[in-house]
This record gives sequence, C-alpha cells and structure tokens, in this order.
Amino acid sequence: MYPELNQLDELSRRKFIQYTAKAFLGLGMSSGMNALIGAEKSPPIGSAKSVIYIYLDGGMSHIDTFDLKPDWKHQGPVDGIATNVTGLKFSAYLPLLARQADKLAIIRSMHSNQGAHEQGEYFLHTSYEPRGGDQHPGLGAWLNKLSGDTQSTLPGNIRIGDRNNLPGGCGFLDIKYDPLHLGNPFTGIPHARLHSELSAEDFKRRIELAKLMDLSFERQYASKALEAYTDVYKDAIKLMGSHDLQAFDLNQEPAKLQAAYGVEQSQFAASCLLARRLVEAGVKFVQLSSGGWDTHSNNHSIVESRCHQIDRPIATLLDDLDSRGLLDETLVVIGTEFGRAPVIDQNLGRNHHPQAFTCILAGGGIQGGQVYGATDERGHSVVDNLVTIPDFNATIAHALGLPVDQVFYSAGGRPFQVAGKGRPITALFG
Amino acid sequence: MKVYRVLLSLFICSELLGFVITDKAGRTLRCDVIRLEDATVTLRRLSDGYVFQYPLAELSLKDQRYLSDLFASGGPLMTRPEASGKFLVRPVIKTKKHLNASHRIDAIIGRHWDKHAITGTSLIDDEVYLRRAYLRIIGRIPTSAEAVDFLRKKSPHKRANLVDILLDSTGYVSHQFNFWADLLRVRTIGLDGTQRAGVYYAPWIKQQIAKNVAYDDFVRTLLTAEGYAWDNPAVGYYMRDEGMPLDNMALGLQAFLGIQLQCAQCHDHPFAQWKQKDFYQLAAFTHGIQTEVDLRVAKTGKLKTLLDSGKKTHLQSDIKRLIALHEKVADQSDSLQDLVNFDSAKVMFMRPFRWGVTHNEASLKLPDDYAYADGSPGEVVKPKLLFGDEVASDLRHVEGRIQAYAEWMTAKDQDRFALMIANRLWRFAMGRGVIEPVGVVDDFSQAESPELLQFLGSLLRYLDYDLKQFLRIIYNTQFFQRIAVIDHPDIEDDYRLQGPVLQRMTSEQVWDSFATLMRPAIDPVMPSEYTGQWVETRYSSLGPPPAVELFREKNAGRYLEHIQGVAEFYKPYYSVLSKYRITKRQNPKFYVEPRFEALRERFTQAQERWFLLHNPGREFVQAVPGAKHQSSKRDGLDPEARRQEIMRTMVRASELASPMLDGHLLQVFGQSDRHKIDNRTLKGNLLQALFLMNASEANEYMANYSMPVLEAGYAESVEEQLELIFLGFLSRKPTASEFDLLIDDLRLDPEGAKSHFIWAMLNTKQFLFIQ
Repeated sequence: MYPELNQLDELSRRKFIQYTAKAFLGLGMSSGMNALIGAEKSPPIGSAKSVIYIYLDGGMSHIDTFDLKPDWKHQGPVDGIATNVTGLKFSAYLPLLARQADKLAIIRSMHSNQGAHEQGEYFLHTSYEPRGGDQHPGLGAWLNKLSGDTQSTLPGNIRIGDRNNLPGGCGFLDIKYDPLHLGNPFTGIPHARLHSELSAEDFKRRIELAKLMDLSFERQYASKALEAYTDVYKDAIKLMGSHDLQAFDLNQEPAKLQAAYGVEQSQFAASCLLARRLVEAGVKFVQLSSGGWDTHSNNHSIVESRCHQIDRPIATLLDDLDSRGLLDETLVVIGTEFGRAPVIDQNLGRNHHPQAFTCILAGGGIQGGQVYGATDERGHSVVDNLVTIPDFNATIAHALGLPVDQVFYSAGGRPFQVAGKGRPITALFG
Repeated sequence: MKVYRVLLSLFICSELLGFVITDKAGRTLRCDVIRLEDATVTLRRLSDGYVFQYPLAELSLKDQRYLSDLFASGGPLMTRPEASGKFLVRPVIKTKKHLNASHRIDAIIGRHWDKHAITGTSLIDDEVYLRRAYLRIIGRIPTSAEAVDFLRKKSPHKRANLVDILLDSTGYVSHQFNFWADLLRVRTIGLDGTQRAGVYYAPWIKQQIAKNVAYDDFVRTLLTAEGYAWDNPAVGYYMRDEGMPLDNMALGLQAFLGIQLQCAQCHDHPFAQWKQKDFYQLAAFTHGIQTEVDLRVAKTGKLKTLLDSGKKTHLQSDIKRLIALHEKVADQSDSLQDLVNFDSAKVMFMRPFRWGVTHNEASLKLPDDYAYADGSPGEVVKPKLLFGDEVASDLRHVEGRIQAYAEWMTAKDQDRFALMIANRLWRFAMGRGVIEPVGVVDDFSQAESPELLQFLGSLLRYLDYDLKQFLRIIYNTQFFQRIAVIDHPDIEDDYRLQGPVLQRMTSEQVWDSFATLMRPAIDPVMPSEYTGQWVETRYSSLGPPPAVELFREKNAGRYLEHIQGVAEFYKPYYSVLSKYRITKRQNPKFYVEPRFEALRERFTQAQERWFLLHNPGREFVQAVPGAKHQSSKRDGLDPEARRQEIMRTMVRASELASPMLDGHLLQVFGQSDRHKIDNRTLKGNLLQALFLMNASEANEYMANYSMPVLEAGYAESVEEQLELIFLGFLSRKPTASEFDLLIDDLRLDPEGAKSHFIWAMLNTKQFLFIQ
C-alpha cells in the first residue's frame, strides 16, 4: 500500500508511523500503541553523559596505526603486535593501547568527502560542509544546549590545546555554548582567582562600592540586559570561590598516576589527565588535540613519534576511567579529519586520503574489543560498512541520548540537525 | 568652584584638537605631537599641517614633564603616513543648510509621537551627551582632558561642534571600520586567499572611509574588482569567500539589499517568494568571477577570457609570463631529492600568484540535483535580475554581466540599496534601526515610522551617498540627544522612537575604551603597514609580496634561476627546522631551559637566512612563539617595563587582526567572528566578569598607570584628582554622595583608595552600557 515506506530507513519509518498515529488518532504513541502496531524495539541508547574528544590534528595514517596492511608493498617498516583482543592487531607503535583494545571500537570504514584540512576538520567537527553564512555548532555545543544545566560551576564545553581556531564552536547557538579554550593544561580558566594583591574583604568592599555607584543608573535603566550582567557577576563570583576550580590543579593527583599518564613528558599527557578531572567535575565536553599528524614527508618516523606521544596518555586515561567506574558514562572519541594515502610518495610521505580511514570510540555504552567495517588490501577504499563523518557524529550523539532526527532552526530560519544527515551505528553499542 | 578653576588650566585639551602646547612665555599652539628626540619635539601645526621642530626646554615645565612621560611610556609616535599628512581624514562639509534635515527628522518623529499619543524622552545633560557622542561617533570613551575641554565650554553650539570635530578625526575611521568589517565580514585570518588579500583589503577599506568615498561608488568598486590584492585591494571582497562564489553572491545581496536568497541556493525559499531558479539566474551575472588563478589549466580554460581580452594591465602581463614560467617549471625534475627541495622553494615563489580575482566566460549550470519543473539539471542558466528593468549592458560577455549586476544593485532608483544602509547607519547611531531586524527586510512599510525611513533613504540619495554628511545630520538631531530608553526584547511594539536605545558597548568599544585608558592619544596609533606571512612569504600592505616584485623585475628564466638558488638551501634549513620542532614538541619548557639555547639560536639563524632568501631587502622579524610565551615574558618584567610593554602594544581594535581569537578580550566581549553579517553579540559571559574583576589590567595597572591616574598626578588638590579620575573612567564628575564617601579615603590612603574605586568604576554597568 505504501511502497515508499519500505524504502525508508528504520528511524524515519518510525517517525512516519508516529506521525501517522498522531495525525489519525490525535495523540502521541504510547508504549501500548508501540506494541500494537509492532514497531521495532528502539535501538539501545548509550549511557554516556560526557565526552572526552581526542582530536588527531592533520589526518592520522590509518595504515600505520589501527588498520595495518602487512602484505601491501607500501606498508613501511612497522610490524603488527597482538592486542588483548584475540585476532586484533595494532601497530607496534602503540604497545600500551594494544593492552586496552578490549575497551575500543575500531571503526576502519570511515569515509569523508573533504580532502583539505580546513574543510575536513570543519566537516569532522560539525557534520556540515563549510558555508559562507551560518556557522554550524560542534557536538560540545549541541550537548550542552540539549542536556540541560549541571550542578557544576565550570563551563560545560572546554578545549585544551595549542590551536584555538578549530571549527565546531557554538555556531548559530548561543555564545554560552562556545568552548572555553585553554592554551595549555596548566593555566586553568583565565582570571578565575582573586587578584593576588586583593584580600577577600577588600573584594567585597569593592563590589559594594560598584553597586553604590550604580544605584541610580540601575534604577533608571532597569532591564533584562542589566539583570543579565548581575547574573553573570553572580556566576563568576560563585566560580571564583568554587571547589570545582580545583579540577584544574593536576598536582592533586598522586605522583604515580601523573607518571603513568606521562604528565612530565608532554602537554598532551597532562591534557588527558586534566580531561578526566574536568569530566569528574561535571564538564560535559572536553576536547584535546594532538598535532603533527599531517605526515607529508618522513611519514614512518613521524607517525612513530606521534604514536609515542599519544600511546601512554590515552591508554592510561582509559584504564583510569575504567578503574574509577567512569568509563560507562564517559565516551572517549579518537577522531581525525581523514586518513593517509596507501602510497608513499617521493617525500617519503603520505598524502591526504579521505576515502578511507580509522576513528575510534570507547566507553559510554560502546561495546569494546570490536572492529567495525573494513578497507581493501591497500587501505584505499572502504569495502564493508561504510561510515560517513555525519554517521560517526550521529553515533556519538546517540551515545549521549541526543535527538539526531530533531530539526533545529538557526536565527535565519535554516534547518539543522545535531549530526547533519548522519545515522547512528547502533551495532556498536553493547 | 575651586576645582573648576584648576581644571581650566589643564594644558592638554584634546588629542583630536591636537595638543595645546604652551611655551615658557605662555603662548599656546594647537598641534599634533609627532616625535620627541634629543630634547627636540617635532610638531605639526594643526591649522595648516606645517611640520616643525622645537626645543623641549622652551616649553612650559608642565608640558616638558608631561611630554617626557608620554614618550617614555610609548606614545604617541605617529609612525604611519598620516603623521606626514598623506592619510588625512577628509573633513565633512560643515554647512548650516544640511542641518535643516536634522530638524526635518525631529519633526517627523514628533508627528510619530502625536500619532501614538506619546512624548519622547527629555534631553540629556552634557555629561551623558559627551560619553554617548564619543562612543557613538568614534567608538571610545573620552579622555579626562577631552571631558574637561567639552564640559567647560559655554557655547550653545558646542554639541554640534563636537560632532564635527569627531567626524573629522581618525577615531571616526577606526569606529566606522568595525561597522564595515561586520557588514562585509572582513577577515584577515582564515582561508589562505582570504588572509593574503585581507592584508591589503582591510587598510584599503579604512582609506575609503577616510576619503569618505560615496557609498554607491564604493559598492561598485567592490563588485567589479579584478586582479591581485596588492594591485587592487578591492578584490578582497571576493577573496574573502575564496572558492565559494555562490555564497559570496548571496551574502553580498543580503548585505547591500537586505534580501535573503541563501536558502534558494539549494531549494525554493520556504517563506519568501524566491525560487531556486531565481538564485541561479542572479548568480549567472557574477559566475564568471574566479577567485583562484589556476595556471595548470591556464591556456585551455578559465584564464582564456583574460588572455583574449587584449587589455594591458599588470594582471594580463603577469599571467602571460606566469604561464610561460609554469611550463618551464614543469620540466624540472632531475632527481627526487632535488625535486623535493625545488618544490618547496617553488611553492614560495609561485603560490602568491594563485590568489587573485579573474573574470572568465564560464557559464553557470543548474545543479545536478535540481528538482523543479522550470529547468533541468546541468542546464545552462541565463542571467536574469530579481526585479527591476533589465540593464542595457551586453550580457553575452562576462564584463557586461558583472557591470550589469553592479549597476542594478546601486542604481539610483534601487530603493532597497538606499534604505538598507540608511537604516543600518541609523541603528549604528541610535542603537536600534527604524525597522528591525536590520539584516533581512521583506517589507519596508513595516518600519516603526515608514515616513522616517523613506525620508532617510531619500536624504542619502540627495546627498549622493555621502555617508559622513548623513551621519552628521542624524547626530545633530534632537533625537540623538534624548535620554536612552530600554528596548525590551520580549515585548513587541513597545518602542515608539521615544529616544535612542540603551545598549552595551560593542566589544570594539570596550576594547578601545580600555586602550584610551591605557595609552595616550590612542586614535592616531596605527601600524605603518599591515603584514601577513604565508609560510615564508611576507605580505605587506605597502606593496606586493617580494616574490611578485622579483618576478616583475626579472624575466622568466632569471626568476627560475633564483628559485633554484633558494632550493639549494632548503635541505640544511629543513634539518634544523625538524630538529627544532620535534624538540619543542617534546619539551614543554623548551623556550626557557638553557640547554636548548644553542638549538634555538641555530634555528633563528637558519630561519633568518631562509626568510631573507625569500624576502630580499625585508626586515626579518622572528615569529613570536605563541601568546602564552609572550605573556609569561611580560609577567617577568618589572612594573615600569611591563607598563611600557603594554602601552607599546596597545592599539585600537581596528588595527588588530580581524577577528581576534585565542580568548582575546575582543572575542570575550563578543566581537563578530565575521563569518556571518553582523554577527557580534552584546551578551554578558563569565569570562568578561572574571576579566573585569581579577585581571591585572583591571587592577594594579588601571590603578597605577592609567591615563586618568597619570593626569591626576598633576592635579593640585585631592578634590581635583578625584574629579579627573571620575571623568576619565565614567565621563562624569562624582556625585555629592560619592564625593563624601571617597574623599577622606583618598586623603588618608591615596593608593589604596584609588585602586578600590577605580576597580569599582570598571565593574559598574554604567561603564559598559551606553546611555
């Protein structure tokens, strides 16, 4: 009767039925109705409440890391090593992560249509191609907008790392969802502490004085705009005295754990540890970056040194989250804008390769120890279960329980979705 | 009264009026202070621009002391061409006649009130007027000296005079630039081509403002621009949207005519009348504009139009020679290693030529997913205007099409063109448009007062789009001098033009006001050039990049030889570079640890040599390794050195990158990201409050070194000190109760009291909001 119906994918079919039910019966579909019309059982939604997003900036070579091609002539010098998952091999550059493989879902069938960095990273962070007008929000902004307030006095969306110009900020959403960018993991929120020469008592005195000076002004111009500033000051003062700020103090961690992360060795390691502390303190979305993956020359040695940088910190992070019982509610994402070409070029480098690459998810209800999708014998094309960037982001959103089908409108009236046209890969959830 | 007498003797009137210099004999002269060297001060007489030198010792003692302090702390140092008179702001024509229009506007508003049976707000006093005029006309608060100067004047025309003075100052250019940067989404960062062109485009826009170029001429120049940015900076308009011509067209249409056509790029507009076909028909006019010079397909494809055109401009001759060179370069491939080196050098020398605007004959086709009955995918689209009469130009060729588009947009009978900018400028001055929102307008008759809006539109056309005269007229209305009203965002129709609207300062106004507090004579402080760097190639607004100069000097063969010479040095340079990068990455304290000093030194030397090979004759400036490092460096300085460092680097927002990132104060206070038109925000956030309460800049710096404090240092009484500081921060004198509250503290513990109440002033709402 409705041949189109069979062509719709599961979720939009569900929506359609829901709509029809509403339209004809004048009510929403109750669970009883659900059983009545035999709709499929809803896919499992992840248990994630927060995200630690590790961005490998520049395009990680999948062939040299998580998708080895030992029989391919351009594989290069790296060997595969066994992981703690039977039959799964990682590159020998990642010995510690290999021991955490049972927590990881390796998606080897990533595919993007953006082959340049700027466009590629925009797509990765927003699920949309860059346009001249509306800027698209990143997942951190969506998550904070859609999941309501927290008890924490800290901002809900924080980025740690060298680069401050990554896309995927608040986009057209309210500026308060824009990530707070910390140049490095040691500085904390700028000016969050009382100025060193000022006593708490004097601070109070100054606040009172400012109020006094503003008395007649406030009376004359009483308005929402002024009230909003009063609230902002209240929040700021609350934060200044807040226990949450201690989240930024890495020295509260035992020396042994700091060493396990490798805090002394790299800022990246310190960022991983800070990310865990922030998530514990109620921050919903923390993104950190590891740079230098754009291996146009000397691919092998550079990938080795990059892997060396991330191996210990990420492995420790996963272990640490797990042992604290935080892994179920914390989704760890390892994302990159594209992969690298199977062929080694004249500079001993690998070129950009959006056709096929690898990204990783862990925690947050994701079933660990699995490989999803596959590439051909060169790592050139996806041969099984292709996952687009929007699909990948929809999966993250799904893990967080965000509505990927819901349409939101920008101020200009244009429609957007959390992960664009992406569909979540429900098979990844345990 | 006593305070007032002392204030009268203040020798610095206003930076805008120039400094009033007093010599030992008590004679005074208005002039710009340009330099202080070897106890000789270089001055420019304001009346005629005559530049001369004068021994410092011949000036009054007060002036000697003040000028020495001023220069010790980094200002004013007018290094840009303006100091020598090359970049003067064209004065607005100051006739009484024009001000009749101000009365007409007030009369129209009066009738509007009558119609709604309301009255407008009362007129504001001089103190409120002063702050509003400075912020609204030149984008910053007045200095205490400027405040004293204005408040003590008795003339009944002093407000009108102030408007004229402000409109003719460099601060006007700075403030207007922010308006245009928001509207045109001017970026000097971002996409490669955007950045490179931005180096030339941003200062060019300022020049157009300074020259007060008529608005319609300005827009026509943008729309028809062609060439490289160093030859024709107006191409920045297209380069800004490098590779996104359809978006550029849609956003240009929105900026100039207030029509939102972007939706129609992908489908028929859901709310308005526009079809997808309309979009493509309009885009067909500008489709021939190409933002990349692609030499690889030079002969066959997109550059053909240009080569066939027979024009003899820089662009044509450059491209012809480039194509010849490109063919030679393609033959170079001896050994692999050589090629690597050569490629790296080649990129430096060939790449700058990529970023230019050319016109070609390529025709626009409907997209592959075109789904409407009025066309089919892949069909060639013929240019057709959205409305109005077809233009006479020859549409068969690209030049004719672009001309036709520009003529249509700016035509005298194009109502939208005049109404849109008139409404925007009204909001710029009054805080709220006659019709809101100002960005996309479907129906101008929905304006709060259609009569007013129509009058403003015809006025602008009558003035031949002289924007400055237009602003002069509206700044001279009674309306501009009325008490601000609250614009409730949630209540519709509560605004009936009772007066201007209370509004938080824009982020640029906040920043520029801070700059005013921190550095004397901030307005004329502009970099003598805009610079940018793409890998090793240095771009400067003063001329083409070195590679281009070199290319124009040499023939293709010699240019190639030069590139090969540079390639020789690539390998040793690269080995130092990679060692440096890896070490830096592995060691968080790379910049401070002594054991890396040798490597840092070696790297700097290699970098310098590499730089000079690419930029012969240019000054090598070592790249700053990140703001973090810089600020920690600053933290280590003693207070005086630190003050001078801050002072030295302080410039107005218009002189910084567009936009600023990295948690810069401008970003924190909501500067537009300049992706979308008018994308600034005036909302508060956590970081703003934290900065104002806790940053050193708001604490000991303001208390000890700010300009009002510096000037108060010359005051003869405590009362006068208090008054000067209030004027400097809040542009008003202390109220009687404030005076009583603070004066004893100031007597007993001057330092402590100052730091308390200055902090308090910065954290008031009256500091941030424009009444």
